[in-house]
Amino acid sequence: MKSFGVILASMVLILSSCISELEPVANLSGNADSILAITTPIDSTRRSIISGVYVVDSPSRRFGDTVAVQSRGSLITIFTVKDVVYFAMRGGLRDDSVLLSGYWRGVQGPLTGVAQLSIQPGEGGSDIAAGKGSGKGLILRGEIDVPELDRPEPLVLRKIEKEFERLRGFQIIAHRGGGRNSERLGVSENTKEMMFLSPVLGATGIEIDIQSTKDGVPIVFHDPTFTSRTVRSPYLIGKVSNYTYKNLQTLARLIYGERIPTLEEALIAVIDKTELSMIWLDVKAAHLTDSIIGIQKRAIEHAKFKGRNIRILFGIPDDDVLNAYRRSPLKGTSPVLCELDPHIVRELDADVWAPRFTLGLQKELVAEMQKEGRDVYVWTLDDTGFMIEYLRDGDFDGILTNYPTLLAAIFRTRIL
Amino acid sequence: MIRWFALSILILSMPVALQAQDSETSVNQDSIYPSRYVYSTRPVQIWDFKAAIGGAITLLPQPLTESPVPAPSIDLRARLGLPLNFMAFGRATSNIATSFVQSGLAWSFVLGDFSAGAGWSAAYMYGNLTFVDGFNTSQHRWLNYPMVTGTARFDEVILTVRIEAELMTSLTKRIETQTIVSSNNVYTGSSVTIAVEQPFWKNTQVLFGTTFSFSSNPYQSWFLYNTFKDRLLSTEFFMAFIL
Repeated sequence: MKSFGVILASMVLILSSCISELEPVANLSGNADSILAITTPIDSTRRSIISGVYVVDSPSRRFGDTVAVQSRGSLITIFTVKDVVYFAMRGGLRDDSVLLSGYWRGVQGPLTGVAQLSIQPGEGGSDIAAGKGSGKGLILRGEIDVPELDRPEPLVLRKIEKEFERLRGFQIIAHRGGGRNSERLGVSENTKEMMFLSPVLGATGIEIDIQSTKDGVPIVFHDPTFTSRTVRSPYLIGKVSNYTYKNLQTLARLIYGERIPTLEEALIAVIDKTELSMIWLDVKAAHLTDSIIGIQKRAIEHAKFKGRNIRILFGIPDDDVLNAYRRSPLKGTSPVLCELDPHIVRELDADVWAPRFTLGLQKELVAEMQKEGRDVYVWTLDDTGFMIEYLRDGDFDGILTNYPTLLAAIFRTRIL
Repeated sequence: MIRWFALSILILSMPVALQAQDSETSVNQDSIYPSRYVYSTRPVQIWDFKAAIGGAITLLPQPLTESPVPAPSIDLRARLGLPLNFMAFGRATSNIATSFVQSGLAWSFVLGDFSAGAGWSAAYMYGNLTFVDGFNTSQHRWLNYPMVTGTARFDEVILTVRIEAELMTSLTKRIETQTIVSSNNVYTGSSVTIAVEQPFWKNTQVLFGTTFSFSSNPYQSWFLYNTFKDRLLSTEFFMAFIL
């Protein structure tokens, strides 16, 4: 009978090998293409009329009481604190109305749905068409699909004030180029596609991870090894540094089918195709320090040539990279972000100090660093309560987060 | 919901007063090892105390950790027989960074080689990482665990299945001087435990089992500041020698 226990234990062990999987999320786009075909783009003056803090006037409190609305090009985004939802809406002007179509998504869970919104002539549409007014009282009205409901739910948002801005500026920095694979955003972490999505999620800057191939090519990838978390290629196992760049081009397909970008192509893509204003290079390949700084400097030159105001920072996260940087002939020739102790930050004369959020607000140190002309970014803050406290009681110049949507909603609406 | 559950346990336990004499007899007659198990809720002699000491390893949810991360801990369990087929039980587990103390009451009845019961326990979790470089954080929680349980006896082996719900009534998170307090009855998830108690070697008796916990906020991973709404699986293996 004792063998019964052994058999049962074996069964339990087999059962426990199950890995917790997150529910997949539908990839929606709404009806944006047909809306874009019948509307004209909204220019920058009109965009500022639309952007702002809105209250929810419809009965449902699905998205809380207050949301942030941002208008950029043909894209209008909405960010909520409650359930951490973002709306990605595209559209433009048609006569005296603004027509928008897209989707909404709660990034901490699987909820998503299509959304159709508009600004009617008598509800601010005429003012936008004429390019006048502050937009106060403007009404965004429409319907959203909700998975558990049979019919669309009405949504009415009313603008009450312009969005909050910090005098010194503030960076909403998205982790891994915009978000982790576990956020199920429909694009893989650390890819160009994710970097293009990051402004939609609320980011103004991104952090990307740099690994090395066997032949010394800096690539944008987080883990030192390939696992089913990051790749879907069955023949790709073991260390990333065991494969040449050519091997990876042939073999490596990320979770959503993308290729692993080189650092250089990722930087050029961000400069050329996004409005992001900061890139934090989280260097995980210390031996490539010279090569990475070289690419960083070329990208900065490219940005200048393109007239882009973007900050590209060489990140020093640990002693390996620190020692490699100290030995580098290129030391001191490009902007640096240092995560280490303040005395090392001062020794390197780093442009940015980036302490871990679990050390707290460190108000005096932050103030000293800022007085010395440095910015201070804190990482990686995802908790709503602490995000509010860090914004209200702290004085950081940027926060790195896996939820730029949440940070954008709190920061821009100033729900503190 | 908590009140209703407590009330239902009370109502369920009332007929036991009438059966008390019978059940004590059944314990003596039916149980081959009446005082050699700690996890089963099979009725035991009044004031009979038993404890077990061992270890547990929890595999933290992979979407949070991104790679398999085991969290080992020392594990103490005990139970005390009470009148009317009630039993007090408790657990203390710690790996310094995370400590968890739980105690509760359960009531059960016997049906031949089977027994079934229900119970309630309250627990306190304290997490502290101030001794780790780069962390100035701590957290504590109050938790409640209503549960139902079933036990089957197969000769010398006792198999117990326990289903618990987890209700978090208080959560306090601290980083440096910043403190966030929330105190709601939040249903965070449920767990299923399968445990076996059996003779091991010479006179020793062992308890081993696994808990499959589906929680949106597993206490073992408090330092990861989980933000997912999804309920994630964390698996705990435990083994203990019954003293």
